[in-house]
Amino acid sequence: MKKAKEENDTVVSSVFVNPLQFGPNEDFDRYPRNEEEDIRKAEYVGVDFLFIPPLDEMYPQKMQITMTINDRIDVLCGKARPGHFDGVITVVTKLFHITQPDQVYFGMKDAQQVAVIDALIQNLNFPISLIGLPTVREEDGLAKSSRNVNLSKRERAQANWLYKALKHGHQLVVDGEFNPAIIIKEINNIISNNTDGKIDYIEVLSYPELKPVSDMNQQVIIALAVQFERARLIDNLLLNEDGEIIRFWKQEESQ
Amino acid sequence: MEIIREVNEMRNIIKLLKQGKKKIGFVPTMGFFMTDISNL
Repeated sequence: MKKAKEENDTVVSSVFVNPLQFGPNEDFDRYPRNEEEDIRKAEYVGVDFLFIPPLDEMYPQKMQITMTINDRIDVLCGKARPGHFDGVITVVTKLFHITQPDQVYFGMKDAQQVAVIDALIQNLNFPISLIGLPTVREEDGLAKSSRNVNLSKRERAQANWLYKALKHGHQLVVDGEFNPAIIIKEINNIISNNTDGKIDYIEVLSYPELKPVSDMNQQVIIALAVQFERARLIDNLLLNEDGEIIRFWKQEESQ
Repeated sequence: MEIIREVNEMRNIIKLLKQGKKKIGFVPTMGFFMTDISNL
């Protein structure tokens, strides 16, 4: 948010829980909402205009047009959430038309979402620059998430191994390891040996294309998801072609 | 900070900002009371 303030004259933010991106068995009704606290926090971080539309403002009638994304979705979390990113690109398109931003900011914690928005902006020629913001972390490195409260005390103590494992993967690259399979295996071992979580996936993919890679000498994402008893955690690291961590990701100019 | 709940009101404000050539940064969220920035 600070970056958005620095780089723009006006910061608009929106709070909207979009039903289109929740599957039939997902938790739209139970998704945590706290409008009062959102308003307080938005004010604190310097938002100029906070857009909080009720459901019937955004969807006054059943949508007559549906949007579908065909690429960048059959990997990572997208594999298990058919239709999710169709809902995301639909609401984001609506929000882009309503707010007409010059620059838009998304958290890199959901790096697949940023890759999907990148495709949306490029494919539909939105005159918007996309910036991926670094994941906000707890002191021990665990990525902040509303789901962390569902971790047991024991699981919470173990959960920082996800980030430690990613950092180890990065260190392997720094030390000259370019084989993604070896990096994935090492990360897998660290998480398996130090947590009770069940690994959903560990993937190394080109970014933002999200294609499998055979070596690390390009911009890649190392991403993982681990299922604990009542919380599924995701995390990732983005590396440039020299193996350095990218904190702020900026979309390349449209072709 | 101004809170806007209607699409038309938001559009009118954006129109004025555009007339004033203001550069607009946009941060969409599903709520950010849990973290500094939540994902959609």
